[in-house]
Amino acid sequence: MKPDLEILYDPETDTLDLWNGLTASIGDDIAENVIVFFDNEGQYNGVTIEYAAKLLVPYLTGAKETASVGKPKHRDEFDAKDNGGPSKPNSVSVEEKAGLMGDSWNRKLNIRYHQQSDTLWLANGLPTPNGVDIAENVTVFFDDDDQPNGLMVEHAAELLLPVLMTAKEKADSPNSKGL
Amino acid sequence: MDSGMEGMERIWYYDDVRRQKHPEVKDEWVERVLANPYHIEDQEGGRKRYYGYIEEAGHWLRVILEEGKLLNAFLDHHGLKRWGQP
Repeated sequence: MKPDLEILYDPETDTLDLWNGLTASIGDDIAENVIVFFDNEGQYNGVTIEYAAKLLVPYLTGAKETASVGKPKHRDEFDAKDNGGPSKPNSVSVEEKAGLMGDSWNRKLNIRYHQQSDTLWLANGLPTPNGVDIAENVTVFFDDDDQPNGLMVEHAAELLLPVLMTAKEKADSPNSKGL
Repeated sequence: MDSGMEGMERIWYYDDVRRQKHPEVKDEWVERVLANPYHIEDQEGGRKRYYGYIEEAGHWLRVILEEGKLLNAFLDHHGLKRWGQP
């Protein structure tokens, strides 16, 4: 039986946490603004999405279908130490190739939402051959080196819109901070 | 940022959600990183990330500030890939 999903949302910081209530000590980035957490045994137990309403509400309401968010660095800008990225997928764009060589938070965040199935995908474009459910309706995908590269949320609008819409007015405010 | 976290303002998220999800992060570690960060970087939206290695945890610690207020702090696996163990 999958653990229950706890949804924690802070409208002040527009931070969304999807969590199964177990230890989530160590974080790793899928891409800018999306961090997955695992315990000391490597078990994924939670996700934090920063600027969640700004990023997700346009897609969950059906206004947009896909997006890439963030500015990948050019590989020449990376430190020489930053050369240990995961293996390249078969086909990637020039920008994605640049992202592969550097810090994960500089990878583009690809957002996809399928309205009919109410399923949301957040990914960085790298291989996601393995998946594990961290709780009901939330699955983390990772490569063979245990690098988390994607996240799927089922019943996404049903689960997330009621909490994220509490921040919509704030996010739409002219005084709100831009990404 | 030379006086650690003493007297620093905290966003609600830091004292509530962060303490629930990442209770292993000690205030002393956060203070240490803010007082002597190994690396600081700007995040989109005006936030700043401070990084420091916590020897006793065997991990890097990422501390996120928004407008000088504590927002989040957690052990950061990506730091090991970036900088290894100093």
